[in-house]
Amino acid sequence: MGQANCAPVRDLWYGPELRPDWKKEPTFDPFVGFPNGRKIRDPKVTLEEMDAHLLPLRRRDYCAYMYIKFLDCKKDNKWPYLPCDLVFQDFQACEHEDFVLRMKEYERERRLMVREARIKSKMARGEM
Amino acid sequence: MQLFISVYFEKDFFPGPYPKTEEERLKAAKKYGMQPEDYKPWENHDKWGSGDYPEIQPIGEDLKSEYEVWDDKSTKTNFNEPLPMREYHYTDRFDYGQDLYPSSDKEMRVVFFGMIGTFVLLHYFCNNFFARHDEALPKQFPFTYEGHGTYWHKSNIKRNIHYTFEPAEPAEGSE
Repeated sequence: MGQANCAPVRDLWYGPELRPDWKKEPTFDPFVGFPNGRKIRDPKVTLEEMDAHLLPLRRRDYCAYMYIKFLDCKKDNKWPYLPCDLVFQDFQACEHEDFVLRMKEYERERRLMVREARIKSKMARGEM
Repeated sequence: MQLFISVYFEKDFFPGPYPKTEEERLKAAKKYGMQPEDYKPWENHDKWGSGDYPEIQPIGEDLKSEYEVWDDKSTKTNFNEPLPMREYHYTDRFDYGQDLYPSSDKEMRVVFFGMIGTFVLLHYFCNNFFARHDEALPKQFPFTYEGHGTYWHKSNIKRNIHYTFEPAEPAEGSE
């Protein structure tokens, strides 16, 4: 809660040159700083499967396979679907990992912006 | 006058008898250091046994004037000033006799709407001019649906490529 409330203060203090816009996609090349490359994210379910389960738009992300497992568990049980609580916790863990990845992307973007500003100041001073 | 008390009290410090004649009133006023027109003994002297002790209301230091020359500046009192008869835990309060909480209709309205108004203003300024956000980039979806909700077609679905932070696996066919 403190991080979310302090974020606009930091955005104003450091400015748009040093803080990435949280509403925009990353601007830098995704492979900068990865000598061994990066693995592609695999959604593990096809469009047809997502359409068959009639998933809403917000659930059609990289954790859809976990949500579909939860829906299948609900199909096999009756209300209040007690054995499905653990399955839903697995889905929540996947969503948590997704959010951590988003935070990592933000931090990577921020560090690259800071690096760019540092290089520019060095060039202006004539050290590079 | 009969008095029944449970603690020791010096006999010389008791008040004198109730003054009945004019001469006694003047003597009692001079004893207590008051002007004769200000001196007034209690009406219930026979029930309380106060004798000729004057009627003095306690007053808080905050309500005494700052522009008068007092003998003791820090407590705003004079030497041999006549004090109230009984000191309770509240009568020596700094602001005794002063209502600090809202007592009239206008004061009540000011306090009520002032409190609510400050919260409304804070909410407006902090939520309309600044956006609180987690320090994370937007959510990653594998497919985007152009025209979703109004007009959309199968050809409007785009596939996005996203990367994790793990190293890429070597492709098949390499050594």
